[in-house]
Order: sequence, then C-alpha cells, then structure tokens
Amino acid sequence: MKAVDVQPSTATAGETTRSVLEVAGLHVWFDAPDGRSAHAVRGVDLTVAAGERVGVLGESGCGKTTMILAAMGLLPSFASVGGSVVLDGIDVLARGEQSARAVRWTHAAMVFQGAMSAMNPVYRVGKQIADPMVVHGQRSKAQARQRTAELLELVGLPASVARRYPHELSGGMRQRAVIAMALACEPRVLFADEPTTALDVVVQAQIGDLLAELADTLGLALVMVTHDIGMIAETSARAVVMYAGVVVEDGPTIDVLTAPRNPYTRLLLEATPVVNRDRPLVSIPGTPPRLDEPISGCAFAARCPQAFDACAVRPRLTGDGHVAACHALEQGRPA
Amino acid sequence: MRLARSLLHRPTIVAGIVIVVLFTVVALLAPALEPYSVDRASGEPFEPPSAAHWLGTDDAGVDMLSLVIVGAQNSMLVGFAAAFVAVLIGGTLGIFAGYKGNWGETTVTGVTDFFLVIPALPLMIVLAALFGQTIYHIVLVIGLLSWMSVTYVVRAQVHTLKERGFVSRARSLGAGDFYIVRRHILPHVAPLLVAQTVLTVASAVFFEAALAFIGLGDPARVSWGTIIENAFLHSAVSAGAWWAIVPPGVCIALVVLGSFLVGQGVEEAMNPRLGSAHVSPKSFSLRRATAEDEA
Amino acid sequence: MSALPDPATAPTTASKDAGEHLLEVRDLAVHFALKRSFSDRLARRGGQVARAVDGVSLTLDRGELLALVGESGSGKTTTALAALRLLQPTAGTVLLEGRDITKLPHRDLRPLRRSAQLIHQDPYAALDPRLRTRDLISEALRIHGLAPSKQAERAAVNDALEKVGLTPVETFAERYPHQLSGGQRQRVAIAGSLVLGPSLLVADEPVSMLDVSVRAGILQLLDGLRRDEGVGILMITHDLATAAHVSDRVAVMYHGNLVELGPARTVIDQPQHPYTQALIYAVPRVHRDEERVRTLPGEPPDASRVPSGCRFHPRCPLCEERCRREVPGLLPAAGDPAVLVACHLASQNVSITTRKDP
Repeated sequence: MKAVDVQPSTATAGETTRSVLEVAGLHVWFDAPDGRSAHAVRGVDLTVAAGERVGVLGESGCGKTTMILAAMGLLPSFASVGGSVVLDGIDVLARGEQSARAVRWTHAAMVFQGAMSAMNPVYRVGKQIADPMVVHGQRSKAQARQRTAELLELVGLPASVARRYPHELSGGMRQRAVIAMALACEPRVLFADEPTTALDVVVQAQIGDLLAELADTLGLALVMVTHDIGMIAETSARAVVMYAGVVVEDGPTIDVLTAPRNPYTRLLLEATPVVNRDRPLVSIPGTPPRLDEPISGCAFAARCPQAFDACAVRPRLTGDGHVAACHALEQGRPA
Repeated sequence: MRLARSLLHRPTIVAGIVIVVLFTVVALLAPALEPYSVDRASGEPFEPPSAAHWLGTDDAGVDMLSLVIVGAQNSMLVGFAAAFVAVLIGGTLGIFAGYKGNWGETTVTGVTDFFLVIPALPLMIVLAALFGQTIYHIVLVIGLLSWMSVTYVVRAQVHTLKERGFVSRARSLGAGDFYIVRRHILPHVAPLLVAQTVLTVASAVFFEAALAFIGLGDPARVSWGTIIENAFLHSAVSAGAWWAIVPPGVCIALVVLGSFLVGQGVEEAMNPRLGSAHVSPKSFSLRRATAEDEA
Repeated sequence: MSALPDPATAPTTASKDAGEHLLEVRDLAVHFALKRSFSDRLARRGGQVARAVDGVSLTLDRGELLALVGESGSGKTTTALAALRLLQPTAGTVLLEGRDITKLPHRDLRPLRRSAQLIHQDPYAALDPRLRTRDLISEALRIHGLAPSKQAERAAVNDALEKVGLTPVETFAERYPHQLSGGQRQRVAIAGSLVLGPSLLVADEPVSMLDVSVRAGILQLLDGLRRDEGVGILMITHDLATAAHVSDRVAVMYHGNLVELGPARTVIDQPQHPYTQALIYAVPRVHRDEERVRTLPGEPPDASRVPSGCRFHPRCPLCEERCRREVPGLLPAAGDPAVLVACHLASQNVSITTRKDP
C-alpha cells in the first residue's frame, strides 16, 4: 500500500521530481527483555521530494521518532526492522548497519533534541563540525576548516564559536552548532527530532526559521518530527500526522491544520491551546493503545467519537493530495 | 518485583544465583550432607577419588568430600557474616555521606580513603596475630576492611536518588530528612545493598582462605582455607594428591564467580540503558512483516 | 476581575481584615552566590552573584489563578519556590494568609506545608515508582500525622482521587506509577497535595511534560479546583497559550523583574511591554500576520550579569537613552490602570512592530 506521491506544486507537467526519501511498508519492533515485543511502527509509507519541508506530527509513543531513526539505521540492538527505506537512491536497510552507514551524514543527517547531548564536551565546536567532513573523506583538514567557517555563518553564528567549547554556548547557539554539524557533509535530507523543545519560545522561533531558511537555500529536504503544532505551521509546507505507529493524515500543512480530515487530527487541534483562545480547550479521553499488544482495526477507534462497525478493519490512506485514513471519512459520515 | 523478574531472564545471572544458592544450601545443611564425620579417619591417607570417597581423602585419611562440605559451612558463614558487617558499616556511611553532603560527606570520604589505603591483607595478618584467631575475630577483621567500596558505591547512588523528583516532592510535602531516607532512599538503595552483600561475600570467602592458608584461620574449625593449608603443610603436592587441594580451591573460585555474575546482573538490571545501541556491539536486525502485522 | 491596588502604593499596615490576600509578595529578591574562581580569591574579590529575582511584588487571592509567565532565566520558578519558602529569600517579604513567613525558622515550616503546596513539573519523576497510588497520596497525611486510623486515611485518599477525577477510585488506588499515563500521574500528584487541604497551590509548568491531548484535562482540573474549592493557584509557565486559557491574571517576568501584570485577556490581546509583545508574536501559529516581528535579537539573559537601567534594553528594538540609565518602575498603564507595566515608553502605546530606524 503506497502513499500518494506528494508533488510540490511547482513541478511542471511531465517532469517527475525525484523523491529523495522513500519509506515503504516500514515496521519496527522493539524487544523487551521479558520476551514481549512492542510494535512501534506498524506499516508506514512516506515519500519526500527533494527540497520538501515535511513536519511529522504526533504525541509521545506514536512512532515518529522511531521512524526517522529507522530511516538512518540508528536503531538499537533490540530492534528489528521490516520494509524498506530508500534514501537518495540507496537502500538503507538492505544489509543492516553496513548499508545504513553508507548514508549517514553524507546523504542524510539528523539534528537531535537537546543539543548538549549531541556534542562532545571535551572537543571544541569547530573541530566537531569539521570532523565529519574529514572522516568521510570529503575534505582535507584545511578545507574542512574553511568550510566550518562558512557553515557557522550560514547558521548565524560568529566565527569565534569555532574555538569555543559546547558548554560555553547558550542553548540556542548550541542547537545552531549542531545544525552546522549536520550540514557538514552536504546531506540531501535533514531529519530534526524535536529540535526546539528544550528551548525558550523566542529561541524556538529563531531555530525554526533557520531550519526553514536553510532547507530553501540549500535545496535540502527537511523532515521535522515534533508534537508542537505551531512549529509545524511555521516551518513545514506539508504535515504528516501519526498515531499508534501509523500515518493517519498527510497533506499540505495549511489544509491539514485548518480542514483536518481525520478525527484524531481534528481533536488534537482542538486540544491545543492557542493564544487568542477563540474556543474552549478539549481533551481527548482515554489513552493510546499499548503497542506490545496486537492492535486490530483502527487504533483510534476506542477514543473516536465517530467510531462505528467498519472501524474494526484498519483504514487505509485515501484521497488526493491531502490523504487521511478514516472509514467515517470514506463513507461520508458526518463529523 | 519487576527487577526480580528481569533478573531471571538473563541466563548468566540465573547461573550465578544458582551457584550462590547451591553453596548456601550446602553450607546450611552441612551436617546432614556429609557422608563421613570429619573428626575421624575413614580411609587411608591420600587415597585417590573412588566410589567410597568421591574426592579421595586427606593426609589423615579423612574424607575430602565431607571436609569440603563442612568447609563450605564455615567459609560461607565467615563470608556472609563479614559481608553483613561490611555492608552495615558501608551502607550506613554511604547513605549518610550521600544524603548529607557538605562536611559530613567530606569527613566520611576522608575516613574511607584512609581505610582504603591500608593494605588489607597485611593488616588482617597483624590484627589476627594480635587479637586472636577465632572465627569471630576473623569475621570482624574482614568486615572492618571490606566496607569501603560499599560506601563509595552507595554514596554515588544516594547522590542521584537525592536529586530525583519524588525526593523533592516529599520535601515539599513537609517531610523531614529521616522520613525521606527511610521511605524513599533506603528502598531504592536496597537492591544495591543486596548486590554489594553478595559481592562482599565473595571477597570475604577469599580473604578467609588467604588468612587460613598462612595459618591465621580458626584452628578449631574446618574451612576451605584450612583444608588447603593443611594439604600444603602435609606435602600433598609432592604426594601428587591433587584431590586434597583442588576441590576447595574450585569451590572458592565458583563462589566468587557466582557472586560476580549476580552482582553484575543486578547492576545491569538496575541500569537498563547498558543494553542500548552505542554501548552494544550488536546492531538492529531485519525482520519480515507478516499479514497479521498489516491488519 | 477587579483592578488590583498597586503594591507599591498600598498602605503599609499588614491587615488581617476581609481585604487580605491569600499570598502577598513584596519586593522579593533571591540572590545566589556563585563559586568564586581562584583568581577571584587571590585578588580578594567578592564572588559573582546571580540575581535570579530582584524586586518582585505580586498578590494572589483565593479562587484566583495567576499565571507567572517567562522564559528560562526569568526567575519565575525561583519566585514561586521562594514564595513557598522552599528557597530562602535574600530580601523582601512573603505573606501567606496574612502571616509573614519570610523569616520563619525551619521547624515552623512544616505546618506551613499544609496551607501551601507545590505541584511539580515532571509527573514521571515526581512519583516514587515503588509506591502504590494510595500510599503516594496518603504520604502527606502520614508526614503531618493527620491520619488517625486506616479508615480515615482511606476515606481521605478516596476523596482526593474523586476530586481529581481518577475514578473508579478503588482501581486507581492500587496502581503503581508505571501503570499510569502522564496525565494520570499528574492527577495523582495533585491529589497527593490536595489531601492536606491547602489554600494555595503553586503549579510549576503543570502540563509542559504532558501530551497535548491531555493538557486540557489537567488545566480544567486546576480551573475546577479554584472555582469549587476556592484554592488560589499560582501557575508558572513559559507557554502563553496555556496561560491564556485558564488564568485570570498574567504576570510576565524577564530577567528577575516583573515587566507586566494585569488581567489575562488584556495582557495577551493588548500587550504593552515590548517583551510581552515579543513573546506573543513569537508563539507559532497557523495563520501569521506577516508584518509581525517574529524574533528578538540577542540571547536569553544571564542572572549574573545584570545590565544597567532597564534589564530588557539590550534586546529591545525600542530602546532609548533613558532606558539605559533608569530602571523603570512597575506602574499602572496609562490607558488601563488594571495593568501594571515596567517600561519608560508605556504611555506612548508603542508596539515592537513599529520598527525604529537605528
């Protein structure tokens, strides 16, 4: 079951924009020491075109972080992966760690949550940015130093930062340095896992804008995983909503956020506080299903106000351009 | 509860537990298990292992198997008792130092360092020579020289516990220090204390054997150390009677091994992150999705 | 909400009459001494001081929800902890139910805990994983010796569980924290404080670690508590949207000072202080008015380096000469005396969207 290819609207007729990331039928299981297995990602298809800015939205446990970790082969030893991930033409999962290593940093890079843990406290920032270039054989040390200076300017940091240590920088500056590190080997895809959650709202805005700008200037595809709807609204042209390990909605951000087609998305939006408080807050009753127990049918049915008998079968993504997985939607039942 | 269950899933830990439990049971039931009395000879001196004497006999013709079993009782007794003393002292000091901080902590670590620097075995020799060689002295001496590492380990854990949310919550509810230590710190430190006890048993058994080997063991009792000492004194080596030396040595080695497996297992269970990607040589595996996965 | 009298001009006689506030903080200051470097010691220089809170005054009444908003480094958490005497104030006065608690000796602090409680930010860390829900809730009772019998204890626990909406109570009472969701854990934490019957609750970022879909439930619970139980709630948050939904009044802090204080709707819809404006404009939203300034230059402030004059002046796009020299007082705004603003330019109704040429 393939998701509909989302083409950027600027593509002219007859020209196919090559997708830089193709996730097909992705499954991820995590094994617990007691033998149980949690099915964290339950069949996800996602296609991202070059230069596209995608926001993956979902709450904790929906599988969004696991999905992008799988795309870079960054899963731990107690994980098992099924399906395929083709990144810039390279099959990431074909030979496990070996094939994953081929794409890391050179084709796809990741910006993690909490920059402090991404950087080594005993090395200077400049060295950490330059290292990937040298290690991957792309540049000599001198060339890497030159490029480091360029990268620092690109992310809005003064050149003097190269000589500093991570703990000497503020949170926002560290996150920028981590972004510079990610861009070192000129990847085609930049994954960002909650890149702004630990930061203040003003700094969040700065980093969010920076990521969007970089994606545009460098022609990077940006896949940003977050639970923050506002961040997606400001930085992503396309929104993908995940729940309990599957994609439930996928479409242009403005459409998904103003005219959601999936009940979960709708309720999620109603539950999000907004500054202009034009409606009362709603909470979604119940909790997401346990992923270590088999889920049959639609995972949201137990909490969905529109659930009916058809929901005992798992809904597939349907639609054109803006797709959603929902039986009630398919059958035109009123909201 | 979950800790116990996760422990049982790892084969190495189960092996360790089995070993330690086995020796403890043998030690407890020693008098009932020994095939022959150790006070009388039941065979020729240095008889090799046979159907009648599974592990042969020692220099006086006493059955080796019985000796090893009775030896287990005394060795394990010293082991547990000394471990108990050590963990009692070390645990208390560790909790005090970790929780109190400031001068209390500085004082305790200073004292601990002082004791750490003392070479344990020579001091044990001196103390045993000065104060006597009964089993009680030995337990005390070993215990008083084994508490230091316990203090450091416990102190480190109390440091992290002190910062945890539920401790600051208890404080904001109005709880005093004693209440917090009793209700929140101690229960969380307990598994570590158990692990430390088991590890200290191993070193205590070893020290007891070392003391006995050089003649400072309790002469009135049979322990693994005294068996080996006895064998050497009576030229078991030149007589080729390996069975008089090897079995107690193997027992000591097994107890030490078993304790380490248990101790390491408890530490791993308490710290699940030790199994994750960058600290583990294994990588993720590939698996095929079935039809029911897609349902 | 009726306008509050300006604390700076209030009569100085402490009153126990009907006009008494539940919580009153006057000129609170909390300074932390930083470790002196070796060169400092050699030169016999005094160590640096982190002036986390520097002169904050506010009041809170029963049944009111005041949101204390600010970013990290603003001093909002320190203010709240000092108000509860979980931190020692360096200067200033804290009055709880009319009683001065600023200099209470340690042993008198315990009874204080029965009137004022703190809800912690992280419900995943705040509950001891070894204890069942009923023990977690009854803990407070045991600490204060308030449970004369098993029945009384159980009744109090069940009552608290009902109040926070964790029903059926018998099921929840037996659960361990790892069997509860984030929202449920936070409810348990709240119940654990409610058993003491406090009149003041300080909620430290009560929903920031919870999923969006459960935040509304917790906020509604807090709202209900103040309406039905008359509890006064001081909610610390960095999220203006959360504040907008449940608070009566909003107090905005920056770098240890209050910069704006007033009714929630007024402060959020018509922010007067440049920093408040920047905060509101920085909140991401689906539809954005293109002219608004999205970000502020510079970095969040460091408590050990306090600028001269108005603390916000290094980052303020409207900064004038006076701002660098003089500290602005927290004064009633020209258009609406219910709002207090600390800005020299407040009377001119400026907005940071009106960019000034450098």
